[in-house]
Formats: sequence, structure tokens, C-alpha cells
Amino acid sequence: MEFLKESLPPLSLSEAIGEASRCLYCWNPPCVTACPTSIEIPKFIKRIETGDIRGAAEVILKANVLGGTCGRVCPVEELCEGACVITKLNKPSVAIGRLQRFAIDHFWAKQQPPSQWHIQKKKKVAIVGSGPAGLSCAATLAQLGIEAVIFEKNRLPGGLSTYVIPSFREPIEVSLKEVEAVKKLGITIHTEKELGKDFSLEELRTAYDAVFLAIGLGQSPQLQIPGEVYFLDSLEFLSKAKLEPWSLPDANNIVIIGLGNTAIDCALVAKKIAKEQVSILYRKRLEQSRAYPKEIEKVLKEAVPIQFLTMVKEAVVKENKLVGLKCQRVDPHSSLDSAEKKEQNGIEFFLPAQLVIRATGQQKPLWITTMAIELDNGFIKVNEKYETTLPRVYAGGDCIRKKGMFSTVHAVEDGKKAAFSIAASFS
Amino acid sequence: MIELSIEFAGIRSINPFWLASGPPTNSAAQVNAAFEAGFGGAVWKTIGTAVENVSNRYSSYKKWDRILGLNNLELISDRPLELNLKEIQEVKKRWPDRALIVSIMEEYDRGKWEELVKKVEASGADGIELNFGCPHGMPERGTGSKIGQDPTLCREVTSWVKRVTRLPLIVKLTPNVTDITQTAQAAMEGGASALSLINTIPSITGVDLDTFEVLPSIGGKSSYSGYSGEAIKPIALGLTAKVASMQIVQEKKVPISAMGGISNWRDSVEFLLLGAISVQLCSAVMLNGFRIIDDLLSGLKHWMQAKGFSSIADFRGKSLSHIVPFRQLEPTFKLIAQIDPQKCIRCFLCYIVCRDAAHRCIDLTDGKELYAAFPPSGKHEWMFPKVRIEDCVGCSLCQHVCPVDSCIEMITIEAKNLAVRPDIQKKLSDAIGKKVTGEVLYGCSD
Ligand SMILES: Cc1cc2nc3c(=O)[nH]c(=O)nc-3n(C[C@H](O)[C@H](O)[C@H](O)COP(=O)(O)OP(=O)(O)OC[C@H]3O[C@@H](n4cnc5c(N)ncnc54)[C@H](O)[C@@H]3O)c2cc1C
Ligand SMILES: Cc1cc2nc3c(=O)[nH]c(=O)nc-3n(C[C@H](O)[C@H](O)[C@H](O)COP(=O)(O)O)c2cc1C
Ligand code: SF4
Ligand code: SF4
Ligand code: SF4
Repeated sequence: MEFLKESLPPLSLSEAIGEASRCLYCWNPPCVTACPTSIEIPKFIKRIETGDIRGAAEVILKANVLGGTCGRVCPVEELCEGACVITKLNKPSVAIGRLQRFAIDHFWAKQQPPSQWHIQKKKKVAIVGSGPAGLSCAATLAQLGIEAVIFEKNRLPGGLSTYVIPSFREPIEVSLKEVEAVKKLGITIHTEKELGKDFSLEELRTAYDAVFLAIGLGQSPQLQIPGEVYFLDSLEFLSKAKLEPWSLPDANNIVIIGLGNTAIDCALVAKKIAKEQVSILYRKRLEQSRAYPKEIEKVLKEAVPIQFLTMVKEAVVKENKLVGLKCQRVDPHSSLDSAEKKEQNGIEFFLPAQLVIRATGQQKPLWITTMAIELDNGFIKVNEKYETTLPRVYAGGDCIRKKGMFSTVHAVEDGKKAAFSIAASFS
Repeated sequence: MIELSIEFAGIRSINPFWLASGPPTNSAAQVNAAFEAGFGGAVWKTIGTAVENVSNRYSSYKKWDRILGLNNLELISDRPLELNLKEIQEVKKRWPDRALIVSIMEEYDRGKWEELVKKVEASGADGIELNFGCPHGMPERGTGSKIGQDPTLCREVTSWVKRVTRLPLIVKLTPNVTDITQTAQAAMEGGASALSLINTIPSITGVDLDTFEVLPSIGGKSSYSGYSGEAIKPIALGLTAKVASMQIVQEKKVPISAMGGISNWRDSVEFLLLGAISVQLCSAVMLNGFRIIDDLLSGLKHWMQAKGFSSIADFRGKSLSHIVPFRQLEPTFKLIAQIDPQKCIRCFLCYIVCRDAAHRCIDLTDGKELYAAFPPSGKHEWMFPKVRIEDCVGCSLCQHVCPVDSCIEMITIEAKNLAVRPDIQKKLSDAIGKKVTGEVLYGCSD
């Protein structure tokens, strides 16, 4: 099994200019309103049209330090492109995402990285987690002249962008390059430093003027069924596929449990790297899936069969090896709350599988329950200034996302806004 | 029955579409092919003084991938004079029903002009066109637009030629003058039987921002070159109208062959409506080939059919009377802009241009409150542009920038008497019958 390449080719200069020329340069444009980081979209697009690529990148980076990642991974149909007025003329929206990627890639390829900001070192902020939220907070603080230090438990920085988002959407180099760009602003990242293990929150609170928690979420919750240890967690699968594809086992049949966006990514990656039988098991009906319609379309196009209204009862293991799953059809009329889940008595059947991936959502940060921080439905509770219930401790990104979209661009915006609040608290 | 043939200063042509003197009329092979395709006439690429052309002689003015204008540094024909004359003779023999006119240019030397004219006359061509317009290269040698810009020279050289030929004599005017009527007048005084216009406009298409070279770059150097194609049409139209409106032209019914930026039948009809008898094309053919004649003929024919015209003469010059001195424009004529909320896509381009460059009379209003009946659809719809009627001066800037077809209508001021509201606006525009956009901008052949 090998590394995956980015699937969408970059735009050429003339393609980019052609696409940019389609933008109407709206006043008070809905694309900007729909962008969580409020990038001045028509402004950067106009600059591409006239060949001022550096100017375009400046506009993007001013609002979103991870413009390169966001240009690739943002669910644009749901955000900026979904709002583009051109669609009201029954024409395809301006390809904002691809233009953004074009501008940032050119900026990196052709231009000097932005110079280091003058950091005053009067105030110091500790940031836990080097995902989009942490990086964006650190970069914004640096731009405001405040020192920021990031602690990351993993070997590589970048959070899910580095480890999990499939390479066909975002190659690891893109994520790491952006981390480098943030570091160049004068930010230190200490990797393999885990909060709760290598140091405590109290220690950070004593040593720093403020703490920003950007710890994201954990792995999928256990299904509580026999033989589950033989399953691979979706994040584990995706990061293996992205970083060390050779370490994945050979399997004739790969089964993915769940039908969220993560499950779809797993299915697409499995299909691409393994080229084996890949299928999806989903407990509910198609219309109940929270995956983006465009994503569901993709698995259907790849001819990945989806078994709806199907539950996994247990793993079938022979000689210490996973051989398949015992599944059961679900009564279409049941509401499927946890009480009913166990009492299903639909038809049971056996599904052969050598690799089963559990993609049933990400777990909330569990260790935080041991700390004196108030939670809300398992997520870290924050007010509109991103303050937690512990003084001088802030949080943002997936770990506070009680409602709304789990997306990179939302995490970036959280980090940026939290940085402004932190800076404001110092003045 | 629709009759497209014309008579131009005694020269007959099966239709009014001629090739202008230029690269497409540089050889018998080309002119034969053009006539085969259906062109009614051709003005042979200018012959005369021996010249040497340069490479990389074109540059273009582009908006994204669309060529708006063409620029050239080409001189007159650099093929041997005798070869050109021999080919002209062959072509004319083969195509008796087409107009074959030979464009000529010599240095400011009476003997040379006379000698050339005699040779051309012997070739059997239908007419002679004097190239007084070439704006590059030739003026440095005292000819081309050097003659065309000076009424005295223009009159003099025309009269030299007139004295030695009985062929219809067309003088091709340059736009590169302050008042084209003066050179037109001089040409007629010199004995021109007809006028053609315009030749290319001196210009520079661009500068390379990396090399600082001026375009087109000929080994790093450039020169002022001649601009043609779509971009020059408005200038050519204006000058054609000006010449066609001259009293002497009107009285003596001087035939005009018009050109400059014609790229389709619509452009041609506009020139005919402003008084031309034949129209010539150069750049459009250079960019598309001879095949465009099919579409020119089809469009013209269908338009004439739709309008009930059976010959070109039925409508030629019909629009000239719509041009009056500014002081005669009606000061009481007033329009106001009205926006159709059903069509509006809320780009707010109208708002921003009216605010920054017109009369600040478009407000952004809450859509819900304004248009109670409007169906709520989608997340980003929270305001609409609305014209404050009492402050609108009807400049129409907003209408020009609106990207949606007939979303902004300019309606006559009588509308003021009616309550202008979206629910009645459809009826309103019907009642007033002033679908200005529909008529002028988008009218088609049927
Ligand atoms: C499979 C998958 C695909 C996705 N695809 C997209 C997509 O296409 N587009 C999109 O916009 N979004 C996508 N997302 C969501 C997006 O990746 C997240 O919303 C985003 O990464 C959240 O950023 P974050 O900074 O809050 O958290 P994360 O990216 O999760 O980063 C958290 C970081 O904190 C570190 N950390 C955690 N605990 C500790 C600790 N105790 N001590 C030190 N460090 C710690 C982690 O190692 C990690 O590096 C996807 C998510 C998944 C799971
Ligand atoms: C490359 C080129 C060469 C031309 N050569 C001549 C010429 O030799 N004699 C002439 O009278 N006009 C010449 N012209 C001018 C054209 O005949 C015509 O007047 C002008 O291009 C405007 O028409 P258009 O916009 O249809 O091209 C030339 C134009 C071009 C583009
Ligand atoms: S909405 Fe579309 S057309 Fe308007 S500015 Fe944004 S990208 Fe351009
Ligand atoms: S320019 Fe046209 S489409 Fe755009 S807001 Fe104005 S009326 Fe609506
Ligand atoms: S016509 Fe002119 S003044 Fe009236 S709304 Fe449009 S831009 Fe404004």
C-alpha cells in the first residue's frame, strides 16, 4: 500500500485568472458572510485576476493563517461557494476554494515567507494542541506582539490536518508547511509534551499569563460489543494510511461502521489504497446521515455498497484473526435510542471482513473531566470570549464545538478570536 | 425576395460584405477562397512602394482569453508588384460579379503614383483605393497617414491619381486626425468618387511588466502600431456617421465603404444604418477565417426579413437623423431605474456604483419588510436594493453594471404617477411599453 496523492490538480495561472474573472466583485458579498474567518473573498479574487498573487495571499492570510489548508479542506459547498450569488444565475459558483489554494501555493512557492513579528515577550501564553485552533491562536498572538508556546502530545504538529485528513484532500506536506510558516512568526512548538501526563494545567497556569486549550476530540467511542478490540479506530486507520500506509494489514474485505464524514473518508481511502472490497454498515437510514450530500455522492460513485439499517452485534474471530461480523437488520420503525438498540430482533447475518474500521464519531476530551473545568455536554464550556470557567484559561476548536460544524476553518476562527480576547485581557 | 446586391460608385457587388485591404487579401489564392466562401468584394492588400515587413508584427489587447483588439506593425504588400498585378488580373477574370478594388500607395512623388495607377488600370480591377491611412512605417517615408492627415496633400495626391484614371476612385481615410470631415472634404475636392474609413488607429497595445518591452516586441524594440478589431468599432461608427452626415456627401450621394471593428452582422447593419453602402472586414477575418461570411449573410438577411426590408437601400442611412447636436436633446425626457426583486441576485453592484459614482439613491432595505409576498429562500437573503425614486436622475449606471438580464429597467418618469411597487411593476412596464433594454440591446433578427 502506498501514499495517496492530492486528487484535485492545482489551477494553472491562466485557469486561475479565468476563474477569477467570473467573480462579480459583489459589495457586501454573501461568500464572505458565509466564511467563518471572513476572508475578504472578492478582494483576493480580484487580485488574482490582475496577477497580484502576493496581494491575494496577503488578504487570505490576514484573516486565516491556515489559508492553504482551508483552501483544500473547507466544505466550500456548505460555506462560501454555497453562498455565491452566481449560482442564482444557474451557473456554477466561483471556485473560491481552489483559487484560495492557488494563491497560497504560489505565495509559498514564489515569495519569501512573511517576516517575523515583533514579539514583546512581556506576556506569555501557553497553547495546548497544535491543530488548526492552536496554530491560529498562536499566529494571531504573535501578530499582536504576544509570545506563544505550543505543547503538542504527538510527534508531529498540525492536529488532524497532519494525521487524519486524507492525503487526496490535503497532503501532509501542506499541513507541515503551514506549521513551519506559523513557527517562522516566532512561535515555539514543543512536541511529545502531553498535558495531564508531562505537565499539569496548574503548572501552566502558574508559568504563563494565559492558557489556550485546543485539544480537539478523541477517538471513536467503543461500541461495547464482543471482539471489538479487533477493530481499528477511524482516526488510527486514517493516520496509518496517511503516514505509514505499509503498516496496514492486507484485507480482502474492509468494512466501515458508520456513515458520517469520517466514515466516508475511511471508505474512500480504503478504496484507494487497498482496492479491495469496501463496504459500509449504517445503523440508520440514508436521510439520517449527517455527512455532506456531496460526500455521500462520492462513495456512491466509487461503488461502495452501503447497508442501511444494519447493526453490528459482534466480531467473528477465528484463530485470533478477524474473519467477519455478525450483523443484524434493524427495525425501520424503531427510534434507535439506546434502550431499543439492544433489543432488536431483525434478521441476523454474517459479513466477511478482515479489517473493520469503527467510524462512529469522535469522543469528547475525557481527561478534562478530572480537572476543575466545567463542561457542557462533555465539551469544554466557554463564554463568548472563549473563557473557560477557570480564570485565564481559554479553549477553542473541536473541544468546545457543542453545536455547529466540526471543521478546520471554524477551529481557525476560534483560535483567532480567542487570541484577540486574550490580548484584550492583557491591556 | 431579399436583394443583397449593391452598386458602389458604379461597381457592382453581390452583397455589401467586402474584405478590407490587409493580410486576407494578400494573394489570389486568398481572394479566390474568400469569393468562393461568398464575400461580395475585396480590396487588394495595398501595393506600391517596395517594403520589407518584420516578424512578430502583431500584438493583441485581451480581456482574459478574449481578444478585444488587434495591433499590427505590418506594412503594405511585400510581394513583387508584378506578381500582385498578374494575380489581380486572374482573379477579376474569374469573378466578374464581385467587386475587386486595388489599394495603392506610393511615396510623395507624382510620377510614381501615375505609373502605378496605369499598371493597376491595366489589370482590369473595378476600382482603386488610395491608402492614406497606414499609421506606422509608411508615414516615416512621407506617405500613408502622413498624406491622410494633411488636407492639402490629400487633395493634391487624389487629384494626381484622378487625372490619370477613369476607374472609380476611393480615398481611404485615417482616423488619426482632429477633424475627419476636413480630410474627407479635401479628398472629394481632389476628385474622389467615394470614401472609405477607417484605417487603423495608432496605438501601443501593452508593455511587458517583466521585460519592460513594448508590445509587439521586435527583437526588444517596438513602434507605434495600428489598432483594429472590435475595440475600435465605436470610434469607426462615430467617424462614419460624421462623414456620412457631411452636407456635400449627402448632396452628391458620395458612396461610403465603412470598416473598423466589424465582427458580425449586427455591427455591419449599424454601419449601414449610419450611411455606408458596403462594409469591409479585416481583423474579424484574421481571427476567424473566411467562413464568417455565412453568418454575416444569414444574420443580415433574417434581420431584413424581420424588419420588412427588401434591399439595402431600404434602410441605408436610416439612423443618421437620430444624431443631433447636444443642445437639441430633450431636457424634459426623464427615466428612473427600477429593480425587479424577483430577478435580483443581491450582488449590490448597483448599490455601490450609485453610492460612489451616481446620485446615492439606492438604499439597502430589509427584504422581508419591503416585499412581504417574497418567498423566503435560503440563508443569506436579508436585504434588497431599492431605488429612492425621487432622487434617481436616471443616469442608468446601475443598469449597466447589473449582471442580471433586464433586472434593472429604466422606465419613463410618468411612472412617478403610479405607485411603483414590485407587485405592480410587471404590469407597469408593460403598460408603459418602455422595455428599453429589450429593444436596443438585445433585439435580434426576429
Ligand atoms: C476524518 C476527518 C476528516 C476531516 N475532514 C475535514 C475536512 O475535510 N475539512 C474540514 O474543515 N474539517 C475536517 N475535519 C475536521 C477538522 O479536522 C477539525 O475540525 C479540526 O482539525 C479541529 O481543530 P482543533 O485544533 O480543534 O483540533 P485537532 O485538529 O484535533 O487538534 C488537536 C491537537 O491537540 C493535541 N492534543 C490533544 N490532547 C492533548 C494533550 N493532552 N496535550 C497535548 N496535546 C494534545 C492533539 O494531538 C492534536 O494535535 C475532519 C475530521 C476528521 C476526523
Ligand atoms: C495586419 C493588418 C494589415 C493591414 N494592412 C493594410 C493595408 O495594407 N492597406 C490598408 O489600406 N489597410 C490595411 N489595414 C487596415 C484594414 O484594412 C482596416 O482598415 C482596419 O484594420 C480596420 O478594420 P478591422 O477592424 O475590420 O480590422 C491592415 C490592417 C491589419 C490588421
Ligand atoms: S458571492 Fe460569488 S461573485 Fe460575489 S464576490 Fe463572492 S465569489 Fe464573487
Ligand atoms: S446589480 Fe442587479 S442583481 Fe445586483 S443587487 Fe443590483 S439589482 Fe440586484
Ligand atoms: S439610474 Fe443612476 S441615479 Fe438612478 S439608481 Fe441607477 S445609478 Fe442611481
